[in-house]
Amino acid sequence: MGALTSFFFRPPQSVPGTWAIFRWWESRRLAFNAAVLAAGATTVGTLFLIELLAPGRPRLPNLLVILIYAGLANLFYTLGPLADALITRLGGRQVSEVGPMLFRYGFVFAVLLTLLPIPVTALRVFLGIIL
Amino acid sequence: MSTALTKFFFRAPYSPAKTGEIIRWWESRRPAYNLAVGAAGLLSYAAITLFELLRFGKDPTLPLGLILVYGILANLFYCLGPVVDTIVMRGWGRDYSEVGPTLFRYGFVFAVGLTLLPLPLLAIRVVLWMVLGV
Repeated sequence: MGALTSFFFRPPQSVPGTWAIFRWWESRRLAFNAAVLAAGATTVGTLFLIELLAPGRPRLPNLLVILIYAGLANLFYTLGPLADALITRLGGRQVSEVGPMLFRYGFVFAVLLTLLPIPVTALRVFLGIIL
Repeated sequence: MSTALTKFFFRAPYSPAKTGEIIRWWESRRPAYNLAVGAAGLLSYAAITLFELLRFGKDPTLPLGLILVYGILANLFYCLGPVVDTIVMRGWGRDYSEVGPTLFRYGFVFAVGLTLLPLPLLAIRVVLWMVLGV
């Protein structure tokens, strides 16, 4: 629990400098990519299995689409430290929790977005079978 | 303002774990959730329409079927919230009373964020169009 807390939170009321903010975000980028990658692998594997139930040949996703998705995920991730540094400079201590909060919501958003095709495709196949 | 937002996104700590109250807590927030997703959708649609008008000189047709399916799915997934919240509260008790509101907050942000996702993608498309002409 301690490791998770230190991963997703920053010491309260700390006012890190700009470089410290960037270091904080960059030290978490690898884990962010690993989580999105794991979610992506789960999605691809599950979709393949779901498509086996549907009529027709199961399709694997285009590699280019995967690469563009990963590029965009990292591009949007980069907006995190930029917003964090800007908000911390403008608001100081009172808003020091905004950055880690952005990180947590962004992290969950990216993972959920990557997993979203699973329930949507399952629903589509289910409707296709019963209708 | 801050108190109203806090009341909306949080629950009193160690609140009772009665199923009826949990469902009421979620259902009392459903209209606001739908309003937020609807407003986000309107914003995204307006931006797409503006881009299509500038880029191709034509007004895109309103995808009513898609909007309806999206709205239904958003509400279907919302229904999972009180179900999970009830299971957690019944299974693990009051110590986990913060799980439900946390699910609500992350779900709310996810739904609004997903509905607004076309905006940054459109921004990238506009940059590509202006820089590379594609």
